Amino acid sequence: MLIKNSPGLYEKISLLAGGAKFDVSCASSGVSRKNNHSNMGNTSKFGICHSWTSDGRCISLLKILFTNFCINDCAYCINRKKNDIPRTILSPEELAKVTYEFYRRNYIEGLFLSSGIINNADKTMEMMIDALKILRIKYKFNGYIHLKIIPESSQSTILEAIKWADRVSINIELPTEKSLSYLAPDKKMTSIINTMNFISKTIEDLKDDKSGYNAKGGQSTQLIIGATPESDFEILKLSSLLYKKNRLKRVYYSGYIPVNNDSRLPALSKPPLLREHRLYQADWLMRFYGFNIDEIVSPDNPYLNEKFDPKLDWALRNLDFFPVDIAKAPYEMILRVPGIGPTSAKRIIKLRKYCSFTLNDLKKLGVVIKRAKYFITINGKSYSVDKVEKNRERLRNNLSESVQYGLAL
Amino acid sequence: MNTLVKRLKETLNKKQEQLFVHQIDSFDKTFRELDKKTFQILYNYSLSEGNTVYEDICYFLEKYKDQKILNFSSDPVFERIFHTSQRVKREIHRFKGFLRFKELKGGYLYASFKPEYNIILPLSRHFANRMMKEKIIIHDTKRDLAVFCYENRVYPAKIESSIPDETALEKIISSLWIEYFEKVAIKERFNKNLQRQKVPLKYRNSILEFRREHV
Repeated sequence: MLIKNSPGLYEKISLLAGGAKFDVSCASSGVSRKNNHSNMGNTSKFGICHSWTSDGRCISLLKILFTNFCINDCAYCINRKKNDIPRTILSPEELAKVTYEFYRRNYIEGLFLSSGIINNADKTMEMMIDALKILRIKYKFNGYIHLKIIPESSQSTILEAIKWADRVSINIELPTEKSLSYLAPDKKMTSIINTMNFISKTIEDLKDDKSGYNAKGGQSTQLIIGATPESDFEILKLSSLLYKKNRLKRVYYSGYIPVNNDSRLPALSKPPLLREHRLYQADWLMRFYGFNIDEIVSPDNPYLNEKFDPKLDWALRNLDFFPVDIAKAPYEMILRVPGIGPTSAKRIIKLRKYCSFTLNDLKKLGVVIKRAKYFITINGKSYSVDKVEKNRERLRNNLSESVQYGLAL
Repeated sequence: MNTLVKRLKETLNKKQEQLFVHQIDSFDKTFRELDKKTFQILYNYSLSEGNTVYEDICYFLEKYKDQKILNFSSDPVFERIFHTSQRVKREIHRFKGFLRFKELKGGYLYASFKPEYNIILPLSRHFANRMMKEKIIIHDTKRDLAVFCYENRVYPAKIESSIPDETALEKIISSLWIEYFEKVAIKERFNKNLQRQKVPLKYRNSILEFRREHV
């Protein structure tokens, strides 16, 4: 049996998990595929989390490196060339077997395979693709696979990679060309963006092709937050472009955690978790709430408010927009009210044809009343003593008392 | 849909034995007129095993005939049905992730769990499809219910003898998993409170990687 004959597999998994943990992506969503042909595995559109580690992050996929050898020397990375750490590499068969055995015990929803670079990008990608092929063919694995694309891979390798994966991603890591060449001199922004475009185009071209997996879950990327001096505006501007122009499914933000002693990097006492959280909230506003980036941050106002979430912050800056009448306003306007999300907004639209609401009814529909009450009327009736137009400062104070940070920091 | 109707009737019949001696079948037509979503809500509610499941569903069907609209904030019974069925749905989804199988001698995958609601059937549907070629036993140790899944089918089962020993490979794989689970956490982001919200203590006994700290 293979696993018994793998010397040091335990140590390898231990090292390669530790090397992969800083990649924050873990989604197993976006692809719905039933198991129709007596294979092993299916995928769920909504994704399934299998566990949560002691940092409160979910484990959905087996997030692991193929190898932690690397020819690059990126300042922020634990696996950079000049670090004196134990190095190891899995064989494609070992990786496939471990994934398969984890999957059938329901530990995981699939595989998220990334890697350091050994020899060159193509050579590394080929080994990773080999592992995927063994998994897909020998083990008939039909579950979720997210494959990292190594920068500078050739187009033919990328094309092959896409065929076997449900989602692919290439990490930008640092939001500007300048920062990238400062901290990761082996990486080039233009080349990464070009690769992204090639991936989007390939996924689009293969949309109706039935012969492969074809990355139907799209592509994603990651940005490191707080290692370089970019403002929230610069970061979100980039995300907004990536969503619109490059059709990315997700941009992940990873608060910088110092792992190396390097004078080019800032000394942080703890990772910028609140900033990371606010960026995700802003990201959600752009993707699900119809906000334009200019409404959230601007060159004159380049940082998100740490005290209020970006939606509440927008509302406080745009009090003229309120109150919104729940009984009459269109969906897009209701969605702008702090405390109302897409789910409750849709419920309101659906039910208001048949009945009128009280504040308590709204609560049952999922509206966060302590926030929303300042910004709404129901059939012209206001529910807050602090009417919106009355006193901006008092409103701010009231809200800051009632708003709690979403993160337990 | 047809299997769902059958299952809901079975569940209600069980209740009926204790409470009523009449006609579940008279609901047949009403059940079939429901849209799939509403039906799913009633089915999930029936799994909650609440004391008033039968009465509440009768009430619902009676009201639903006239109304055809589900305003779930206006009626306490409706509210209870929606609220509880939401909780049942959530537990099913959670256990799709939390259930842990171990490999037993004889080639079986075995998982035991203690769910709050009686969700073993919808849950095993998920695994029967996912792992078609595996011989799966899922065991609700709280209610002492068991099912056997094979080739996309679910069979009711009874655990009659003691559970066979784990295979030799099982120990290796489970210790690999526990090591992985420890190593993939970022200590600079340590947040036990968040972990506790996500993995409630009541479920931890059935989750391999949490069992050690819990016992």
